[in-house]
Amino acid sequence: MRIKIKVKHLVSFVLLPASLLILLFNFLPSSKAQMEDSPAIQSNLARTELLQKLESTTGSKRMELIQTNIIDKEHGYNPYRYDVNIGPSMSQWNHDEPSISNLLPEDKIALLEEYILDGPADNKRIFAVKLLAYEYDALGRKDDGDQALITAAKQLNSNSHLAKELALLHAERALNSGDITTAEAILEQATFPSEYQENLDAQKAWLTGRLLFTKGEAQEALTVVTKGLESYKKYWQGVHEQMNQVTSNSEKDTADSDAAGSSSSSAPAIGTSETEMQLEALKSAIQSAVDMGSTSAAVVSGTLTRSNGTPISRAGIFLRAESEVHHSITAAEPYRIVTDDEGRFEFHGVIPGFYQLQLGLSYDQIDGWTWPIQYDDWIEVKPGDTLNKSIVLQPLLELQSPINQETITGQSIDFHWKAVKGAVYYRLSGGVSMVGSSFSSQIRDHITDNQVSIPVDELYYNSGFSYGSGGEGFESIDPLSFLVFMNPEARFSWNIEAFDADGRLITRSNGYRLNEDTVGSLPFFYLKARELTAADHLLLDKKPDQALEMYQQNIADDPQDAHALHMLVKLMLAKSSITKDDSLEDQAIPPLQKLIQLHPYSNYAFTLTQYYFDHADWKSYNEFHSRYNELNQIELNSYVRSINAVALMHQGKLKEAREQFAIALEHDNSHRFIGSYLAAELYAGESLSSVMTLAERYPEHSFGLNGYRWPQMIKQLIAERTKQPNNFDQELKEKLGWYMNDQTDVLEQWIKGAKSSALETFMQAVQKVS
Amino acid sequence: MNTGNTENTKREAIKQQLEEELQSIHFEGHERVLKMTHPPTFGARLLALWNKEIEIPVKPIGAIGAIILVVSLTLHHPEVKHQPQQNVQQHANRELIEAGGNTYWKDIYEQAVKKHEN
Repeated sequence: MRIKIKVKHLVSFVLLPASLLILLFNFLPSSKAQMEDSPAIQSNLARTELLQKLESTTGSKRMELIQTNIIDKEHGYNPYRYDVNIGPSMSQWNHDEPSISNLLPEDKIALLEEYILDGPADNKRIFAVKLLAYEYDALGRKDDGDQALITAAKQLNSNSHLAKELALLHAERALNSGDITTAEAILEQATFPSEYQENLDAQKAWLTGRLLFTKGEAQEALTVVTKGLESYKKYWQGVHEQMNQVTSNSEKDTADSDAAGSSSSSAPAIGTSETEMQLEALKSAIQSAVDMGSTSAAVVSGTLTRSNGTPISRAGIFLRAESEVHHSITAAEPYRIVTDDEGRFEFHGVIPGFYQLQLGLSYDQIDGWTWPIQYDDWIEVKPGDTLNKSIVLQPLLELQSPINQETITGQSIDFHWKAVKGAVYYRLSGGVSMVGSSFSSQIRDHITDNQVSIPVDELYYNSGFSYGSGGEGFESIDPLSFLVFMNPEARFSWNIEAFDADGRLITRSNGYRLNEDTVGSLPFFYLKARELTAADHLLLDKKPDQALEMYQQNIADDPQDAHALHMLVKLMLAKSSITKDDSLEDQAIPPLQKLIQLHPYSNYAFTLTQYYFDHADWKSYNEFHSRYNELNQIELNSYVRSINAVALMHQGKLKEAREQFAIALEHDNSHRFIGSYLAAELYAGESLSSVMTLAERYPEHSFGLNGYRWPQMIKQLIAERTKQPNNFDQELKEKLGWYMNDQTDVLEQWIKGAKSSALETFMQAVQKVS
Repeated sequence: MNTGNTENTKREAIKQQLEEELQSIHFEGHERVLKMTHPPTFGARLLALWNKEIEIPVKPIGAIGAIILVVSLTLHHPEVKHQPQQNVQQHANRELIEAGGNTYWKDIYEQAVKKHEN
């Protein structure tokens, strides 16, 4: 069949529609697929969509749209909230849903500027101003941020609490940038309406305290803050009591009349509000500074960059005081800042003391990078300091072998990793990494090459005796943490840290690996070089007592069964520490001594030194300490050295003890043995003032303790000594003698009976050093 | 007068004879001559093409058309339908996990582990 058709009809009715269809099918879908592939284009699409939606609305509808898409989108109404928070002792991510609209900063600024003029005058407006100021700060346009505050305040009734809040916010920004004059002018004028007065008063006290300290009036600052805190607490206590009364009354009513629907609002818990935490933190910071006579504020500044020099903008920098680092970042941090385009940050009016920096980053910013900071990296801010603390992120170290869950069956494992420029040595750690259970410990330190071959016996026997448990009681122990590398069914992971000549961390293999490129090689492997014994199976079945018995049986059958000996010792030591039954520890010592003959590893020697140290058996202690030294091969770490110094001190070897303390404290940033060192120095006849220098040079950083604790105690001793120097010196010598010569009971009795004095406080603190 | 008549008669006879002789000859070159003397414009040619009638065999053209349709449908249709949904879902439900000391997105981690499963 043939069709007769004119060319013009063929073109307009057949070819043209067909080619349009082909275009539609081919071109459009491919461009759409591209959009799905690239999140940038996807979010761009969402942004365009939102902007178009905004374009087509006006009036209150539009304000509502801005509110739901920008203001409510910020999690917890806190602009300083980031995907990831990283500090020396922690790394945590927020479980916020990712924002999809991804408006550009310019978009947000324009819309927020509009909102603070036309939006409803409520708390959301305050938040809009905060957000706007944050956006301007991130662009390095601080003045525009201040202007936004002023503009927003003008829109409000100048006596409303919202206007007052804005005024305080303005004062805070002025303080943060070191503009004392503006801050002072605002605070002087600030009087508050009765509505929300307590909160505003507390805020004002907090700001005034900071202002006064920055001006050098530390004592006045302390008074203002203390008073502010007291009245704030008193107010809430009153509210709490009232509410309790109302609640109990209404409960009574409900019970009497059986009426439903009584209000069930409960009183707010006392001591949890952020305002109160702010005041408490400020009070303790000022108090500590006043005690140390450090009454002028400091400036801490720096930049945040990558190792290739690229600045990281829009990242949060938090300067956190020693007393605050152990809780997570709140919405009321005194020293927080967002980095500008060049990654810069600068804190003004910093109260002298010990601080750590923490970062707030987005997933994109941290992905594949690490901040090489360590647990005990502290910044000491001294009065009047101008410190520069730059932060440099490093690319994650890449592991090369064994990786990607390969199975190893040989008698040693060859670990390889990519060499790091400037690294003088590496630290290898590893352990079990199962779903829902992981346990890791150090395998070898001070590896000078970027590879090392570890015999499986070393993995089996030199892994130490620490363990994990999932609850209370011996039954709750985690069997995987007992068998560790001896379990052929478990999956293991490993990691590397690289250090420079000064022992400072350069980079590490562990970190955020969030996309296909940064995931790299998986740090997992299987080790199938032995088979599980019947006792091992019992342990894995969570029957530790039966396992313990069977290991004992194994040893009876074959006294050279190193695996059974190792497991027996580990289980006994764990059971002893869980049940507080010391006899079990005693029983574990003979098999441990047998083990060290079979497998001479340093961890066995260390456990034995610890045991004899605790029992003040110095002869055995010395024997195993030198054995440890021999087996360890590398230089003693500062902890072992400090313990040894204490042991030498108790043996009357004062000179050697002091030498060892001096080396150990130089290398240990936590300075946990400073108390013992001070005692040894004083006992050797050093003066209080020379000991004071040591106390200041080696501040102790322990959980919940103030870094100025020892200097303050020495200061008190000096003051106490002035009254009766001869008497004091004699008494000090006597008490220190009890401590040196292990006369713990005598010392404890004296502490209990003595009336409180600087000497008693000092001796109590010295005795607790461990 | 007679002479005139005779001449007329003669001319008519010749004409008649000529017509008789030319009867079998037809001039058919009008178009060619016109084309040569008045060549057609480009527009006119296009118009001619535009209005040209052609014949198309139904079977082969229909077959080719059907193939193109099926191929384009199978290649593109599923993509258009499913991919966007998948991506959006993935983004909203993403979960971070920690394994071996690293932090991964769970989906990427599981993919990588699966790839290296023994």
